[in-house]
Amino acid sequence: MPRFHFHLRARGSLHCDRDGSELPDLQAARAYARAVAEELMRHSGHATRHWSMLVEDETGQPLFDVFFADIDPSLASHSPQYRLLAAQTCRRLSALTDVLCAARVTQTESRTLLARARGKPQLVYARGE
Amino acid sequence: MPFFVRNQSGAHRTGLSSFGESGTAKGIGQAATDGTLGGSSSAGRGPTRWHENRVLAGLPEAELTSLARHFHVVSLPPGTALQQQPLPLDQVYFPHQGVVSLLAVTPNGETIEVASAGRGGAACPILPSDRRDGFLTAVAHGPLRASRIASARLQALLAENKALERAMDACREALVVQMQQNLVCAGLHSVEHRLARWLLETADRMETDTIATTQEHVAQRLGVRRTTVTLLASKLQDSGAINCARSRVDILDRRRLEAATCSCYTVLRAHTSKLLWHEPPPPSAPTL
Repeated sequence: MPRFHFHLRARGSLHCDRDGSELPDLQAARAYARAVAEELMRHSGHATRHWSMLVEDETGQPLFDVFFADIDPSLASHSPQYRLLAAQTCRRLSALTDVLCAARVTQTESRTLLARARGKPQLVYARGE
Repeated sequence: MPFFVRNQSGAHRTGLSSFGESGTAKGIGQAATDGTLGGSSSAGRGPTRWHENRVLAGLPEAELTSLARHFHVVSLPPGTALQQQPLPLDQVYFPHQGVVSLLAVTPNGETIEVASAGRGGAACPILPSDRRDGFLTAVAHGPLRASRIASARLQALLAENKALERAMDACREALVVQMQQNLVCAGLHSVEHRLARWLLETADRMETDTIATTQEHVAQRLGVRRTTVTLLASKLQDSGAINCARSRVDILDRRRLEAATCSCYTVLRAHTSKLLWHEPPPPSAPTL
């Protein structure tokens, strides 16, 4: 069975699911991601409204995103305009989080490179591993 | 296959194939019996063992001596099912080390922790019917060492041991109070808050800041998917409250973890400390 990794974007950070879960196919992965998102949203009010989930296959290839604003039941009572705004904000924040995380990786890699160039002990490792 | 493994309808519903940390949980048949507590077979080890469980330690010396021959000390590996539904909960466990977790299991194999007991309490039938019908499943959390007694025998001893009767009432009430609070928490609070609370309470009951557990195991206690626990634990780790290793969670900053819980943690702690006078002081308090 293929393995899928479900990473969480929350408040400018990407929380990685390193172990991943084995699921029969992409459809099952979509259902699982939605179920996890619903568990994370349960009773959390608006705190998780702008979170999103990035699902990757075992090679690290991104497959799809789950934007919490699209499935948040607490948004149902709001006007369509508000829901659209929430969905757009969720997408923008997720894009911003990706840029932030990529910048952090670049920063870490640059520090590693500098440390190596100066012959100093390598205290930081690439990609946080 | 361990006898309590249930057939899972959804293969993706991870974390339900066993209650064990390593996935090789053992049944009660593999329990190692150390001997009669305080009896002649464990002479020399008896006196220290009484004090390991504070309910037993709180009993008058005379009462304790007369009860000694009825107890057996058992050592069990993590994840052992002490009692599996539909079998009734007909044994009472007074933990000396580790925690006994009482779980409710649905026909689909989903689990959620109803209550748990560490050295400051006892895992016992909550309702009289628990001695006849199996609603709860009792599982060892962490390596467990406990004094065990058949529930029916304990019941018979209560008439002539008043201090034990009072202690058992308090233990049962502590479990009920936990059940009430867990109901409030599961019904109203986010999984993030519940996870922080579960970690703190388990650490309190185990009396250590290092909890030997896996994320799968925690997911079974909270009734959520393993991935949900992984992601929220990573969030807590980023905040500096905990550190997660493969089969261990270290609490690094108790105050920060407390800030991440809901009000249920302090409410339950206040309730339980009134009930169980044997409950340890909060780890932040200075110890003599």
